Amino acid sequence: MPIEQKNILNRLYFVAGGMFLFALLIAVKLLDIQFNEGDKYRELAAKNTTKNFTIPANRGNVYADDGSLLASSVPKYEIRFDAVTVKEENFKENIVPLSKELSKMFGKPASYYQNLFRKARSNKNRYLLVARDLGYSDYIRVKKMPLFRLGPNRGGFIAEPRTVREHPMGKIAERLVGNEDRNTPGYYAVGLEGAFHKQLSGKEGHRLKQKISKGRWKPVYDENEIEPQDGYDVISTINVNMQDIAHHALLKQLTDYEADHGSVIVMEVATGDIKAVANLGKSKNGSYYERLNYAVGESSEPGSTFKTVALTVALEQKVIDTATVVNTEQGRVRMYGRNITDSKRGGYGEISAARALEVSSNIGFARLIDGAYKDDPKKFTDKVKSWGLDKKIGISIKGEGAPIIPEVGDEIWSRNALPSMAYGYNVSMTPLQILTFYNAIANNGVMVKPQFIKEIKSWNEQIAFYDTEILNKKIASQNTINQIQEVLKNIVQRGTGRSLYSENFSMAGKTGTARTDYSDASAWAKDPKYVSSFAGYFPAENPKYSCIVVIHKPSTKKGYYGADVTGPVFKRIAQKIFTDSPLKAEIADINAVEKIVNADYESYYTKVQKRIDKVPNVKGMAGMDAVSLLENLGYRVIVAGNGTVKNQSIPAGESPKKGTEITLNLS
Amino acid sequence: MAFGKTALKFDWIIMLLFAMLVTAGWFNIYSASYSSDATGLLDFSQPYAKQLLWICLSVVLIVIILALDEKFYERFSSIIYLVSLVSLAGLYLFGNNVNGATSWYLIGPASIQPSEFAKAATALALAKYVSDIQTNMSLFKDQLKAFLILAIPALLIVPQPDPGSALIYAAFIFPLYREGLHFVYLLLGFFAAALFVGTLVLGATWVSLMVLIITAAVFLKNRKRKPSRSKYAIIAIACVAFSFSVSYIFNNVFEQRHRDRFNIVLGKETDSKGIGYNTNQSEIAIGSGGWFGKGWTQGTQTKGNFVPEQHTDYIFSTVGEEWGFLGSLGVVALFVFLIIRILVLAERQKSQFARVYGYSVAAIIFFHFFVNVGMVTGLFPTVGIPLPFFSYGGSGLWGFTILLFIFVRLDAANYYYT
Repeated sequence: MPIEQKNILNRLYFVAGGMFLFALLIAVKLLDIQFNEGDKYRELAAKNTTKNFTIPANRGNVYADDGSLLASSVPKYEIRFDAVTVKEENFKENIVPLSKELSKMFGKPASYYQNLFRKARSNKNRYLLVARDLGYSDYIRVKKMPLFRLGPNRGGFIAEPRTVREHPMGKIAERLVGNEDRNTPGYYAVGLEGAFHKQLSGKEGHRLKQKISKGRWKPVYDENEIEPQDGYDVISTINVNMQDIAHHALLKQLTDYEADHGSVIVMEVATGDIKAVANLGKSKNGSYYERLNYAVGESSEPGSTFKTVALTVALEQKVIDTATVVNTEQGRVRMYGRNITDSKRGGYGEISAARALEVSSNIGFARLIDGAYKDDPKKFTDKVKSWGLDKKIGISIKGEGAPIIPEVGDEIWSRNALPSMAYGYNVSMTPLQILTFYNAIANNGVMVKPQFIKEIKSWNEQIAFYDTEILNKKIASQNTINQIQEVLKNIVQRGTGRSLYSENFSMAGKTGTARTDYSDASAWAKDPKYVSSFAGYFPAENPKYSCIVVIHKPSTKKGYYGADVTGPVFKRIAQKIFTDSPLKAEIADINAVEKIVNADYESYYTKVQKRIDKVPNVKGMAGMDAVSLLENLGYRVIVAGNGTVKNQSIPAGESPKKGTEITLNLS
Repeated sequence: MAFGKTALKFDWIIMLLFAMLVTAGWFNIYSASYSSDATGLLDFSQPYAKQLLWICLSVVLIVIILALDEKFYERFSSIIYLVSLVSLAGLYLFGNNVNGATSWYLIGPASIQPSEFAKAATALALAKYVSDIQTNMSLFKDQLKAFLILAIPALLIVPQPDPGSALIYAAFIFPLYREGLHFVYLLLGFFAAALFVGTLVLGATWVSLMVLIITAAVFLKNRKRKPSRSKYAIIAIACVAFSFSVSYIFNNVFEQRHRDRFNIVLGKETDSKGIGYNTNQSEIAIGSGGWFGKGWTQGTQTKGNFVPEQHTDYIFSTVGEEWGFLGSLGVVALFVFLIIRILVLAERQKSQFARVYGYSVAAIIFFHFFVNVGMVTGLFPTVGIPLPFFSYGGSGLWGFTILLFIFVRLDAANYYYT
């Protein structure tokens, strides 16, 4: 196949030339990319490889009034296993000892873990869940197990830390303290956590990092661009002991009476500090748990506890006095076409106004108030409103129920409205709002705002202090207050609350039994439902604490009168707080110890703040506090035992490197 | 065996260029696949360690290839070709699917990609056929037979699916041209490519309209010479038909991802995180390299694992980022030298078999180089073919080693073969 020589050369040049042109094209394109558009690409590369990382701020703690932790954030670990990355020989060699170790730790049989791992390997599962919610020391233990100790790439060990909100006091006061939203992590809506979320959550920091290889990022600068600001600590007014007493007293009564739900509030008379809030609701299986914040949110007809309000108005406006006689007849009268009954068969006949409150006569109050105000009901309702009882108190926690105090001209006003109000119907209030009124009576007429928070702190620095807020300097004259105080005391001595009477301890208060869910009269008649309540204070002479107990829908077979259902709860709380107190001497001692520990505790925080990396003295501290303190300082803590710290492996004052292990023995 | 006699006649320039390319390739693979988890150079879970092993074994391969008698290649070319075809066909029965293509045999820990070896086999078969004394490349019948030799392996590779590897067979048009194929075929090729691109950019209707206007104009200009109307009509109709069939195939046979790749290169679509991601990231990597690059193992894009398949098809982006414009130009120069050297050697072969084979080697390496670098720099749509001697992969490296060193062996025989 001969071809002409010149032609061949031309063809060679053509082919070579063509190739050379293509190569030139590439060189031009390279020039274009690297110089013409180089700046654009360099910028894109920088954007690609650096990323602003968010450094989460530590959420502040919620403390009780004595410094015990109510809520705190702790790290928890989820352990997963990448069954694909592990080499066959490592897998074979370690799978049995690993399963044995896990079995020892978690109690499931070793064969269970072996099956789990083998199945994961054959299914090429790269994200097998092994354990969740492990504390730090457990996580370290798992990390050191055979195979897992080879690390993430060769051992398939995946540990995912997350921050969990812990409540060291358990479920007590859970509703008041508040919870992380189950569906949106990091979001707190309810309780103190919700109310002070902004202060607790702090501010996120930022750190610029550069990607250096798959999944590895290296900080660009030595320091964070923006340092995270840890959240403030919130010191609540809650007293752990009182909360415990209130919780268990309420729980016992709810269980005994098979009630639907109930709440208890204990308030310090002089300051308005809320010392305890218990909210218990019945679950489907019949047990009770902190379900909703009834104490703050549930506005309902108060019934007889409102009679005290009515009497205070009438006495203050001098339309009657305590001796004014009222005829309650045979315990059954008809007023404006409606029947009013008293609980005593045969009625009380002619009684004084004071006695009417003592025995809680509906007829007595309906006639007294209607008689005095029927021509000018506004005079009555205006006085009630002047105490702010028709408005929300305006507490920091979300979901305060709105009270209803009707007046002439309102849609729900009728001729019956005034007499109904006199004995606590046709109005609606929350337990906290009623208690605020009773607290004012106990506080000689000074109405203070209920308070949940004492102060907000950042380490040792006080950010905010919440002083007692006075809502009303004097709701009534001292004379009226004295009279009401006297009657409330008598109620416990000889009135509806006499079953509470104790010789060596004085209490004052008012029972209440209100019908509820009665809009369908026939259904109610078949299955009557009540709200039983007791509001009052103790000791009667020199009131220290006010307290309200409200129990909804107790089983009517067991009883429903305020005196029977809620009175005993009030009494138990009052007595536990005050009379069961041979403890007093001991408490003094405990406080002394606590003061020392607290002082130490605070000085550690001061040190932390100054970034002095010295191991603090944690002896005598609660184990949990010690662990979080040391971990916050960057040490790894291993805990043995339960309780308070007996000794620490590295003594106070030394400054080992961050990450050093410290073993704490508790007892 | 004439090993001792010819030892000094092996073309040391080609061998040196080969060694330089493979070495540079390995350093870039090391940089692209290096991770701090690795336990050392011989951690065979790491690509660079495996590549080192392949390189060492390729030296053994070279010794064997050079030790064989040069007549072996010519004599056994048909058998080698047949074995190669069987190995390609066998994939449909025994092949394993890796990354969506059934292109691999998995034998124990190793995987073999027969299409990488089929190129050398086809080059041998083509050289043998064209150099046959009975073959006349100016005859349409023989041209058809030569095309058939190329078409069979290509058609076996396309449905794997691996259209990129099949596309390589278009490179054989160069040796065929050198051996007397009419220039029209080359023109036809270019013209078809122009029509193809034109159709995608402007649409079949506009292209057809332009074709008709141009043919009409040429016809009118030449009307004094009384051109054959039917000839012009056939050309015009063929062009219009081609344009519409391209349009139809593009819109109805291609998958969306293929369409997207073309549209991005043609500038009809832009996106940075989706379909054009690979090319975009690779352009960022190269563009951020500048004159001198960021230095070996210092590439932030390379380290950051932004460019997918970086140690295989996109290895050139590592060169661009870490060695800069000068480094990339150096690699381009190495390839150009190698190809020119092969062409020069091929041209001085006394045996036509060796010459055709040499041209085939040059064409295949060039085509790989051009398409791969074109793809990495965004000149070309994404076509998954490796950069010869550079990209990670045992089959690829060995395929090119065999291809190149058979030519070195044939060339060595040139001096005493008369």
